[in-house]
Amino acid sequence: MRRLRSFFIWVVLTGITFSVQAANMTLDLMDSQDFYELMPRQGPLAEQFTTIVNSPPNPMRVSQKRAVRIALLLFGDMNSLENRSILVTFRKRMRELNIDYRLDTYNDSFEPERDLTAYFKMADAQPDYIIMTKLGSMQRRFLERFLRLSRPKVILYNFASPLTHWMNHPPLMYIGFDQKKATIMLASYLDRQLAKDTKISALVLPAGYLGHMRCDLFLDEMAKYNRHISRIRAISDDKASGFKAAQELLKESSPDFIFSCSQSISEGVVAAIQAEGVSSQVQTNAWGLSVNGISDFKSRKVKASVLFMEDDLSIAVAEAIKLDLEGRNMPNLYIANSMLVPAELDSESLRLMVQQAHHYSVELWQK
Amino acid sequence: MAEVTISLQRRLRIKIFILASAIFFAVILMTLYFIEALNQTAAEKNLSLKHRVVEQTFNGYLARAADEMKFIGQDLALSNYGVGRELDLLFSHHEVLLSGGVDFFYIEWADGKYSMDPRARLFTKVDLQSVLGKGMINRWASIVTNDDSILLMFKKQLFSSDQENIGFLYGFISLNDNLTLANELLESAQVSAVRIYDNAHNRILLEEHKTGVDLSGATLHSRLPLISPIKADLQLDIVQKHSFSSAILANALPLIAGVGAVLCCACFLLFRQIRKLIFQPLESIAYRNEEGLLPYRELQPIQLQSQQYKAFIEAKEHRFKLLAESIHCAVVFCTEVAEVELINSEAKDLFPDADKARTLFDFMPISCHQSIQEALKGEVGVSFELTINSLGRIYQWQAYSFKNESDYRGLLLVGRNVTQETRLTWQLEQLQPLSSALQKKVDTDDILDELRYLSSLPGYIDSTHFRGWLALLISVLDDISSRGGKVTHLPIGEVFCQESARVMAAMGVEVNRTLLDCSVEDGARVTAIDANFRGLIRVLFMMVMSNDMAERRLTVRFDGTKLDMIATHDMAFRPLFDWMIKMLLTHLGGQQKTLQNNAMQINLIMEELGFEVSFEPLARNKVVAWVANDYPNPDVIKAALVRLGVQVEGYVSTDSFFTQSSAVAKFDAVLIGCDKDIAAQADMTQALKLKYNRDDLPIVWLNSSLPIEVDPHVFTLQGCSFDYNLHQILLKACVLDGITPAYSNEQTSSWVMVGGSRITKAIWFAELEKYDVTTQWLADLSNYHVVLSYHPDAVVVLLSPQPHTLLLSIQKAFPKSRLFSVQRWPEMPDNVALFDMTLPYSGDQIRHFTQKVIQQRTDSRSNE
Repeated sequence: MRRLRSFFIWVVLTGITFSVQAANMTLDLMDSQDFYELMPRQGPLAEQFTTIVNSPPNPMRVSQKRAVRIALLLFGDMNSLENRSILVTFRKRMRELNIDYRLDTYNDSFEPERDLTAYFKMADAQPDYIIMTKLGSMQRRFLERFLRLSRPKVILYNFASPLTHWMNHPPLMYIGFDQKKATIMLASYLDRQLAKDTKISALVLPAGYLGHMRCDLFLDEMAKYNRHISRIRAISDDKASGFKAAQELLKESSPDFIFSCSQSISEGVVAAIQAEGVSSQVQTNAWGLSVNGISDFKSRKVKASVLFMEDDLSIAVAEAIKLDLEGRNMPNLYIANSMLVPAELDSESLRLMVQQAHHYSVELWQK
Repeated sequence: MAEVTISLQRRLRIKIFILASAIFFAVILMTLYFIEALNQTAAEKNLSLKHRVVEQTFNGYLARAADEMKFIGQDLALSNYGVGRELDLLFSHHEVLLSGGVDFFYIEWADGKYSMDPRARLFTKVDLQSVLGKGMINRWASIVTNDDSILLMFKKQLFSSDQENIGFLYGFISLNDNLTLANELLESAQVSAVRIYDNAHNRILLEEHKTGVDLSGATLHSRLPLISPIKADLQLDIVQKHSFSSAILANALPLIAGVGAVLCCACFLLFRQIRKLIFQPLESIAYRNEEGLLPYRELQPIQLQSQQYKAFIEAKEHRFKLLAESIHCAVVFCTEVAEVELINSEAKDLFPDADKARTLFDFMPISCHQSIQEALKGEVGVSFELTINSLGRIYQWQAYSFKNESDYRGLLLVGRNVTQETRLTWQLEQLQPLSSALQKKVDTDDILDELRYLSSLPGYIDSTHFRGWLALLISVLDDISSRGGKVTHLPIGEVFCQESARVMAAMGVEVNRTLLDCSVEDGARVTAIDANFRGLIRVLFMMVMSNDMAERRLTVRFDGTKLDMIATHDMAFRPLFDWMIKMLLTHLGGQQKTLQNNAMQINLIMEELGFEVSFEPLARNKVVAWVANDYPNPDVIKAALVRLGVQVEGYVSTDSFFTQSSAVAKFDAVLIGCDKDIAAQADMTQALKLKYNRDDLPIVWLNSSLPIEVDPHVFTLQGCSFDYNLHQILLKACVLDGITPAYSNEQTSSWVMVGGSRITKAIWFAELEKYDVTTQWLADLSNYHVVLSYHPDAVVVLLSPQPHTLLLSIQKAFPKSRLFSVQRWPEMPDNVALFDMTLPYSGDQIRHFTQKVIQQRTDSRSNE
C-alpha cells in the first residue's frame, strides 16, 4: 500500500518535473554554489584540482597497459582559433603528463542539414573518454547513454552548470567558467564606467543556456542599476547576424553602447562599428579574445572584455584523465578562472593577461 | 524438618519460561517501538516526499503562471494591440485569465508607457513602478511592498515578430490570502499546515493550515529549502499531524502473536530438547541397569562414580556373602516385619522351608518367636538355643537388631552350631574322669579355711563334735566323689529325718537347734533320692546347725516339681560349704543363690515318683498330751501339733500330767519331752506302763538328743522334730490304744508284781483279772521309783526274792506301799508280809491271798 502510494507520488512528481523542466531552465541547472552546497565533499577536491591545474605538470605515476583512447568532439570550424587552441593545449599537457593516448577528433560543423555521422563514429569507436566541447539538447541525450554505463567516461568542456537530473550519473567532470559571475562582473563594470545617459542597446541570444545565463542576467542587472536599455534584439549567435543587427541599431537609434551577449555577436558588432567609421564612439563588450585579439582593444571598440582562462580547461581535461587513470579522487566540477579586462588596460598588461589565459596556446593568439 | 527437594527440570522450565516471557515482552516492546519508529521514519520520509510534492505543486503553480505569462506575452507581441487598448482586448479575449495563476500583470512598453492590470489594486496600493526594478527576466522574484503585500513577480521580455524587444511583461502572484495556492499546496500532499518562509528577509510569504486540525499534539515537521524558480532563499515548512495510535498495536498483533507462537514453539522445543538431551540421559543413569557407560562426557564421571560405588558394594556384598557362607554359622537377615532378606546356605539347610516362607515366624519354631520379637523390639543380647531334631544339631542363636537402609529395625540372627561343643561337653563330662575327678577334688584351700575356722571358734569343741564334723564332711565328700549311686524313692520328709538325725548324732547337737520348716504335704512327696541329694541335705544341716545366728532355720518348700530350700547361713565365709553345695548342685542340676539376709536359697527340680503316694491324714479329734519337761522351745512342738490338727494338752512336767490330766477322757498319744532329765522321761513311761499295766502305750519321746537307752515300747522321734516327722510318729502312735487317765487310782488297787516265772505270771494274771486288779509286771524292783511314784500305795507282790536293802528302801520311800511275799526266803525284811503259798500256785491260794490283801486294804482305809 505504502509502496503503491510512494510510486504514485513519484509518478506525479516526475510528471510535474518534466512539465516544469521544459518551462524553466533554472531548475535544471545548478550553479557552482548550489553544487558545492549540495555536495560538500566536492569543495576541497575542487580546490586541490585547481592547484593541480595551476601547477606544473606532474607525470603520471602508473604504467599504462595500452594507450588511452580519447574522443574529442569539436564544433564549428575545425580550424578556428578556439578549436586549434584546445587541441594544442590538450596535446601539450598530455605529453607533459606522459600519458600514452590516442586522440580522435570529431567535428559537428553546425551544418543546417545536421550531419550526425560524427556522433555515430564516435559511439562506434568506443573510446575511453569523450570530451564534449558544447552541450545542447541533442548532445545531452547523446551523452546520457554513456553516462548511464559510465563507459566511455564523459568530460564536459566549457560547461560548468551541473545538470540536476544527472546527479545520479554525473560525467567525469564538468569543466567551464562561471558565466553568471562573469556577467555580473561585467554589468557592474559597465554601470560604473558608462555615463548615466549612455544609450544602451542590447543584442541578445534567444532563449537558451547562454541567453539565460548571460543575456537575461545582464538585462536584469541593468534594470537593477536603473539603466534603461533602449533597444533589445534577439539574434542568433554568429558574427554576421551581429554585424547586421548592429548596423541596423547604429542606423536607427544611434546607441552609445551595444551589449553583445556572445563573442561572435561582439565580433559582428565590432565589425559594424568599424564599418561606421573611425569616428564612431559606439562601444561594445567582448567575451574573450577575437581572432584579431588585442587589436580590437586597441581600437577602443570594445569597452570591456571578459577574459576566460581557456587553456586551463584543456589542462583540466588532461589532468582529469590522468587522475582517473591513476584512480584518484577528483571533483566533478572544475570552474576555471575568468577576469574582466577593461579597455583602459595598457597593452603590456593586456599581453601579459592574454599570455596568462593562453599560456599553452599563446603563439596561436599572438600572430 | 522435611527435606525440600527441587526438580531441576521444573526449575529450568520456570527459568526458561520467565526468560521467554521476558524476551517475549522485550520483543513486543521492541516491536512496538520499532514499528512506531518505522512508522515515524516512514512518516518522515513520507513527509519529505510530501515536501517534494508540495514543492512541485508550488513550482507547478508558478510554471502555470509563467505559461500564462508566456501566453499573454505572445498574445501581446503578435496581436499588435493598439496602445491603451491592450488590456481590454486581452481580457475580452481571454476570460480564462480570470481564473488563472497570475493574479495580475503589468506591461512596460519599450517606449516607456505602461499598462497596469486593474486587478493589481485589489492586492496592493503601491506604485508598481517602484517594485519592477527587482524583477528578473524569466525568473520569479519575491517582493514585499510597502503596504505589506507579498508578491511573486515574473518578468518576461516581449519580442516583436522581428525579434525586436517591445517591452516587458510583469506577472504577479499575490500570496496574501491566496486560498487557491494555499489549498493546492495543502491538498496536493494532504499535509496539515504549510508555510513558505523567506530566509533572507526573515519573513513569512505564505502560511496556511487546515481548519479543524489540532496541531498542538504530536506533529511531524519538515523544514527544507524550497527549490523553486524564485530567486530567493526560501524555505518550505510543512506540518503533518502524527499521533501514536492503537492501530499500531492492532497492526503489530499478528507479529506479536507470531513472536509469541515462535517463542512458545521454541520453548517447547527447547524443553523437549533439554529433556531429551540432558534429563533423559540423567534419568537413564538412575534406571540404567546394564553395564557400560552412556556416551555423554559430562555424565561419565557420575556414572563412573556410581559404577565404582556399585563395584565397591558388589565387592563388599561378595565378601559379605563369602563371609556369611564361610563362618559355619547360620545367618539370617530379616526386615522389620521379619521378612527374610538374606539367608545363607547353612541356614537354608536348617530351614528348608525358608524359601517358601513369608516371614521368619513361618519357619522358625514357636519356642524362639518370643526372642525374635524381643529382638525386633530392640532388645539387646537376645540369645536362644534351638535344637534341630531333624538334623540332630544344636544351634546357639544370637539376635542382633540393626537399623537397615530404610532406617527400620532389621534383625540379624546368627546361629552357631554348638552341637559339637555340647557333645564334647557331654563327652568330657562322661568320658574324662580325670577332669571330673579333678573337679571333684576338694580344694585344699577350702578345707584349710574350714579347719582354720573351726580352730578359731571361740568356744570349746568337744572331740565328739569335731569327730562327727569330720565324719560328716568326709561322708559328704564321699557322696560327691561317688557318681550316681543307688537311687531310692522315699518321702522327702523321711530323708530329712534321717539326715538330720545323722548330723545331730554325728555333731552331738540338739534336735531343736535347727528349725526345719517342712510341711506334712511337702514332706510326704516321694522323690528319687540319691547320695548327692542326701549329701546336699547333710551339708545344709551342717551349715544350719553350725550356724551361730539366732535363727537356724531350714525351710523346705515344693513349688510344683521344684524344690526350694532356704538355709540360714553363717555370717562367716566358709568356702567349703559353697564348694560342696556347688559340686552337689552340679550333679543335681540345681541352682543356688544367696538371699539378702545371707540365707542361701537352693532350687532343685526333683524327679518325682510317677504314682501318687497316698497321704494319710490324722484322724480327727485326736487328743495329744504334750509333756514338755525340760524340752527347749516346747511351744514350737505345740504349734506344730496344732498345725497337724490334733487337740493338744500341754503339761509342764510329769507331775502336772498325772495330777491334771484327769480332765481329759482319753489321750490318743502322749508326747514326752526331754532334754537332759532323761530319768524323768523314763520314769513317766515306766509309771504309765505300770499304771496301765501294758507296754504298748502310745508314748512318744521327744528328746533333744536321743538317749542311748530307749524304751523299746515307746516311739522316738528321729532327728529334727518337724511337721512331717511329728505327723508320722503320731500316725504310728495313734494306732495303739489311748491312755485313759481317770479312775485308775481310785477304784482299783494297783498291784505291782515282781519277778516270777512266766507260768507263775500267767497263773497270777488270770487269777487277778477276776478281782479287777490292775497289775504292773516288773522283772525286778530296780526301777521301783518310777512305778511307785505314780502308785505310792501299791501292793507289791514279790514272786521271787528281792534284795533286802532294796525292800527296806522301798518301805522307806513309799511307806504306804505294802510288800507281800508269797515265798519264804532268808533275810526277808520285816516290812515284807509273808503269805506262804505252796508251789505250784493254785487258784485258791491266789484267791485267798487276794481276798486277804483287799480285805486288809479295805480295812486300813476304813481305819483311816
